Amino acid sequence: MAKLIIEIIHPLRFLREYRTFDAPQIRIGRGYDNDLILGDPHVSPAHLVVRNEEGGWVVEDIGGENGMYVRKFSKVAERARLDSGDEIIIGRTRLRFFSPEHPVAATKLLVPAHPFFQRIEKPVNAWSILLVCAMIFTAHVYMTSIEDVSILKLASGSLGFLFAAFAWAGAWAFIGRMIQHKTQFAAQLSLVLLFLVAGLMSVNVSEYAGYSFNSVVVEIMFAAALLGVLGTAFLAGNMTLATNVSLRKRIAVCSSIFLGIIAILTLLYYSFKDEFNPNPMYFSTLKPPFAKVLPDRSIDRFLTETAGIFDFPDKIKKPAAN
Amino acid sequence: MKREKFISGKFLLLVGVLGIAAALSAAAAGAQSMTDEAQSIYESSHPSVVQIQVIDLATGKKTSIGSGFQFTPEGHMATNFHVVAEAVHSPQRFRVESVRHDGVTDPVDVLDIDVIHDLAVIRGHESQPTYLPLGRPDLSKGTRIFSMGNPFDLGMSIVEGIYNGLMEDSLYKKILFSGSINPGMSGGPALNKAGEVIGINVSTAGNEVSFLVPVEHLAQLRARVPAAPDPLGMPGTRWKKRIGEQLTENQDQYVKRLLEPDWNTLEVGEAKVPGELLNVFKCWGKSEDKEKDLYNYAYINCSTSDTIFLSPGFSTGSIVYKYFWLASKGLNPVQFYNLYENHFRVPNPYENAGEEDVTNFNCDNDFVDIGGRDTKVLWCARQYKKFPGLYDINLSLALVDRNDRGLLAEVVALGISKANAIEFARKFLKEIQWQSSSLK
Repeated sequence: MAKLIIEIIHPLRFLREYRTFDAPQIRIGRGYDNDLILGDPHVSPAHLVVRNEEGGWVVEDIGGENGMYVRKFSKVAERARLDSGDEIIIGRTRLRFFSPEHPVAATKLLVPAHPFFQRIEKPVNAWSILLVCAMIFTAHVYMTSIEDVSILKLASGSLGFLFAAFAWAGAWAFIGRMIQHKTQFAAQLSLVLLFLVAGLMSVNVSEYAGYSFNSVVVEIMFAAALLGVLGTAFLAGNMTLATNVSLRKRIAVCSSIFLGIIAILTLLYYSFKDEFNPNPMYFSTLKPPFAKVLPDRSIDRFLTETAGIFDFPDKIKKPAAN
Repeated sequence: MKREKFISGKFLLLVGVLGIAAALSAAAAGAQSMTDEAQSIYESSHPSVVQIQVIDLATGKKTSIGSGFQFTPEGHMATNFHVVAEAVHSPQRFRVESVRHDGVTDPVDVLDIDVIHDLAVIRGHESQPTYLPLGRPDLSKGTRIFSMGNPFDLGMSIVEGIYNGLMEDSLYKKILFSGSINPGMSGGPALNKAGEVIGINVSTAGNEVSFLVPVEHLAQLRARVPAAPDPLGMPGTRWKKRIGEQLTENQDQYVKRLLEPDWNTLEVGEAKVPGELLNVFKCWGKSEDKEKDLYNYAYINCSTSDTIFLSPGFSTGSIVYKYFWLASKGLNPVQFYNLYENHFRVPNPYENAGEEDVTNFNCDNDFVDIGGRDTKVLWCARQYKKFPGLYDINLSLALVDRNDRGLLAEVVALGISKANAIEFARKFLKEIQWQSSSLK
């Protein structure tokens, strides 16, 4: 007598329970006289009979009210031969049938978190990162202010960054709680803070690069490259902490998010590029003297080299003669 | 009626009442002899003065009005270019009519225009015997003159005022007329006591500050008008070419005049910069050094009062340049440059043209050695769609070799050719010098 294992699957696709049967005939339905009793109101009181026939299993619909779907044929059937691993749907319930010999996947070994994540999860490190980042944000606010303001005002100016970091880390901690059953808020927060600091630095570096090389294109390229790489790395870090997704998928998801953002911005740029703007959109970044690396042009050379600003595509329409 | 309304007003201030009463009595006492003069000039001149209407062909109604007057026995009439501009640009959508003193409406052809001085010579189909002779503009300041026209479509009127000479800060000298010219009077004649035309009404700055085009420009334009008009009329494309030629020639002369003399200089902070390039430029300045601010600044703005009207929403011809000296009183270099950049970021607002008239700006920038010091120079140009050889330009620069002070300068020139723009920019940049005494 062969054993039969029935897996009951929740409509949301997660496993509810396994039952093992060791009988020639198994009756399945909502009635209390069944071998497998289902709570699904769409299942008939006596719905299925599974019989061992000629060394194999056969399933038969005896209820007839809502029918039986064999997953592999995806159509209503009255009677079907079962292979191990087949799925049958009655009402809203899915049942999967296995023989005891059905192969199983290799054991997933528990992998300890990367030492970096272990480190930033430690409260002392997380607090230090928070403190250092708050100081950097405050310094940033100080550098952009042009008034004589107190340190308290400066610190409160940096609160925006901290709030953003807390909100972002909170969201990922929640996801981690749901998926991994581990919150790891401190690690998530440290990660976001480090990202914000690095992002702030990349924006500054890009501005200096654009200014030094006289080109808004250089600035945008720098910003896109730095923020893209940083963003991908940190988002992948958030996902590592909060989900079970494999490394390859993590990188794929995160980089496609950033490539998508770049694609959307490019699209927007090109769709609004030809909109009429009465004012010049000039590249007005100015940085202190230390940022100047390229040599000066002479006035004459400048005027010769920039004469291209007077070149316009010749697409002026000729009005119809009248 | 109006006076009764004023007096019955509940919240009328006593001062107001006294003011009005004083004005009324003064006018009544002094005006008797002048009124007679105006009356006789009106009597003799008004048959030659017409109202000009631009008729929208789609609706058959007038879209704009002005005034005009006949000044030759052959029936040539003068008005402002801006009165008939729409019909010149789109003859397929508008036509021009004159309405005579006796109410007769007569379609008119535009024979020639002078966009620089805002004049047009037109001629009706039916000629009239009466005309106003052109006079000589050799009046002395304070002479009483008379302006005629049809303000707000209310009826032909005559206005007394004072001739106050030619405007000083203008390339295209206009007569300053202290009298009220109102919308609808544009293109009407300004007459001396002999009833001769000495100017053409053109614009007002409000409060009895009005401007007249000197009559010699009309005489010059008249001399150019061909004896027989083109039987087909002037199609829009040919007017466009004509306007383009006039603008190009005008800016050539203008820039030549600008580049010829040695420029006087102004001091802004440590910089010695071009000042009032010609006597037509006027500079205004302002500086601020507040106790609580960590910086102080000085600001100078120079411009002419000249603009050339081309069409509603499109004008050209002016040059503006401004300087901004900013010095830190305790900001660190990064902070100072944030502030400095914020002032650099905002360009002069360009309100002179719309999308049909100009392209977007093209810009470029580089570090340039100006007078031995490092500056960042940006410059931008946009092309006139209808007059492709002409551009609006913006030249902006920032001194970037000091941690705690800097000069921003911006030059805006409208309706200028590429070659002239480059030469003007070259001279402008080369004129900037630094006072070495206060350098570290």
